[in-house]
Amino acid sequence: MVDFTIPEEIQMICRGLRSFLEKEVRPLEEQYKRYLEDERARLQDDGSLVPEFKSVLNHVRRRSADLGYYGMHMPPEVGGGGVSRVGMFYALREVFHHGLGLNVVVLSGPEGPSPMLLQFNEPQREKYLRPLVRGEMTTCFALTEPEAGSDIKNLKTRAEKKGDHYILNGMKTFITNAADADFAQVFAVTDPKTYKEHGYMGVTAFLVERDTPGYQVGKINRSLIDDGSQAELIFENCKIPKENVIGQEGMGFYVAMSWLGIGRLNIAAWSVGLAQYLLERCVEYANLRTAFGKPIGKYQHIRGMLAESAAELYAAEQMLLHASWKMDQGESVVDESSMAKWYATNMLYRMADRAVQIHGGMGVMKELPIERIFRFARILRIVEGTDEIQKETIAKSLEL
Amino acid sequence: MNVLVCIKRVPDTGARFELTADAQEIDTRNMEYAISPHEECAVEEAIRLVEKHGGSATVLTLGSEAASEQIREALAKGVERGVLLETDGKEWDAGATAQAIVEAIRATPFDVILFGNECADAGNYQVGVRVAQQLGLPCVTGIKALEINGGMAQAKCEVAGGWEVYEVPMPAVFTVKEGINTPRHPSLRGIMAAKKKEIGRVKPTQPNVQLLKKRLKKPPERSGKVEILGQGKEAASAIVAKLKELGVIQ
Ligand SMILES: Cc1cc2nc3c(=O)[nH]c(=O)nc-3n(C[C@H](O)[C@H](O)[C@H](O)COP(=O)(O)OP(=O)(O)OC[C@H]3O[C@@H](n4cnc5c(N)ncnc54)[C@H](O)[C@@H]3O)c2cc1C
Repeated sequence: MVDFTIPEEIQMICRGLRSFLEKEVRPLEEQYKRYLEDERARLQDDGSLVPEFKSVLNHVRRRSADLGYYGMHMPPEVGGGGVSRVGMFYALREVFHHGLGLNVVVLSGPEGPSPMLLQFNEPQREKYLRPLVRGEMTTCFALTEPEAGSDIKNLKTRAEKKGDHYILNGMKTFITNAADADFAQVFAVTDPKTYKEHGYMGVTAFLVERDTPGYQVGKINRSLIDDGSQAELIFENCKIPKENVIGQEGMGFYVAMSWLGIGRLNIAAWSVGLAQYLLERCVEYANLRTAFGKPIGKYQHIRGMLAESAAELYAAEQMLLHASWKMDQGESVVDESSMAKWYATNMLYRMADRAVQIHGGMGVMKELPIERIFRFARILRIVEGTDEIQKETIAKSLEL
Repeated sequence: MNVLVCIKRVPDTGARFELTADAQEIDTRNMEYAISPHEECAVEEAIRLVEKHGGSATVLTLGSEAASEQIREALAKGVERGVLLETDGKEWDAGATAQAIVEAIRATPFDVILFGNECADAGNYQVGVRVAQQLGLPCVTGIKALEINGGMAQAKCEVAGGWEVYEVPMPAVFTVKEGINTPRHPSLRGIMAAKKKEIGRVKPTQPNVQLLKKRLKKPPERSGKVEILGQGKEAASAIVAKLKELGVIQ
């Protein structure tokens, strides 16, 4: 029997998150409004975050981790809550339903623990993974290079085996949290011949500590949302002990796959939460703002935009719920996670565009949070696989 | 120390609400529910008392099955046991509610019984006082601080310009006001643990004689009106005229 009832503990998690967001995070947002209203205020000259703002973000992350929310998608043996993907969909939707304030660090993203790191051995789990779940450390997922984004068959970073260690050389770019990460998960070619022949094999994932000699944070990448998060990483003859291979040598991409599906579903869930937030702001504004003697919500053009948005939001929600449920059943969701990521991020983008339009001039002013979400929505169609890459995956599943 | 905290499921205080067509009930479709804010503080106080003095805390509510949601929330925050005085969802007046609570707990000795000062929906300030009266226990209402010392409890109430301090022997009943503490958020661990905690269920019988509700009435919406009295220096005399009209100046 198909049952769409939300399990009681998931409802409780969402209420708990709401209570935390409204009673603890919202007052902090009020206090640090100057950083949230205009992101230029958060950045130093080199593009990195102002230390005060960074420490507020860390504080919120730590508080969420203390309550057990931050790393709740991880299994209990590493300190997580063992929450299902369906649970994570609802939790992420709840968190992003609060917009783009300090709430964005409440549940872990690429800077936090991922199932890929369950490959760590026990001492590594103790030293790196549990502190990540506790929000005491952060990491980064370093795959993209200047010449290899969508095309991961073009990596130039190399790690050469020398006895009991590897020598790592190369450069990564656009890496979220690179500037602050305590350690990086770095993908490097260890077997160039196999890599050239197979494309997916011959690449190894490494745990690289920040204080490794030759590890260097390059320039901060300035961007459309300028949140000070992305940066370059440069490795010059970094000596990596062989224990720091994550999973099996040469199988880095396979190790990463476990994270990619989840990353896509996460971004789709952010999109659903943000779209819900925008839809509510729009309905409120459409009822409030009058033009030519009546609320703009009474005009067919506006009603049409909002009706379409509501229907598209509903569709995205159902796709995600199903894909998440399927993942919980242990089934592959390669196609579904691509479909959900593509659909939900584009749904949000259309919603955000309409939200700007419905708010008129106010829609582009920094006084309202609308324009920032509009910019953020644009980015979500690039990260974790572009629109085109998702469609390629879907097309492949159609055996085209 | 055994602490009992009584709570009520009420519409979320931030929510907008509408009445049903017959003006007998609040239209509950799409409504969010919560523990009354004063009672949230009472739950927190119960947990803190047990953390400090040992013993166990029990949360009790009278309401329909849906109210078990609020019991679970208190359990997730750290209360050990839950009791639901289960009704068919009809409204019980304060006298009947107090009677049902007294009957349910008469056999169980509690050292401290906490209520919210008033519930956020009906706001009739009755149940706590009535329970205390029927059990013959001392009662302090509207407290903003509570200290236990041996068999005595010291409770403080805020009054204009200072505090009233009461010392009462235990067992005793207190009705708690918002501000006594900052309620914690349920942790994930607490939520998972709450799933396994038991909720005792009792079905009290509703007395025939009760206060009779005639109808509910929605208060008029508060509306802010902005009146521009004038621009530049012309505004000054208009303001003076207005202040005179309001009786602020003569
Ligand atoms: C904000 C942000 C955060 C990021 N965080 C991280 C991170 O933490 N870690 C990390 O490793 N990377 C990260 N990235 C990098 C991101 O994953 C890449 O930017 C993305 O995969 C696209 O790669 P690219 O920029 O090289 O674009 P390209 O791959 O060069 O693509 C250019 C265009 O060509 C299209 N295209 C490419 N291949 C095909 C094809 N086969 N068919 C049709 N069209 C195609 C693309 O869809 C795109 O439109 C981040 C990027 C951003 C913007």
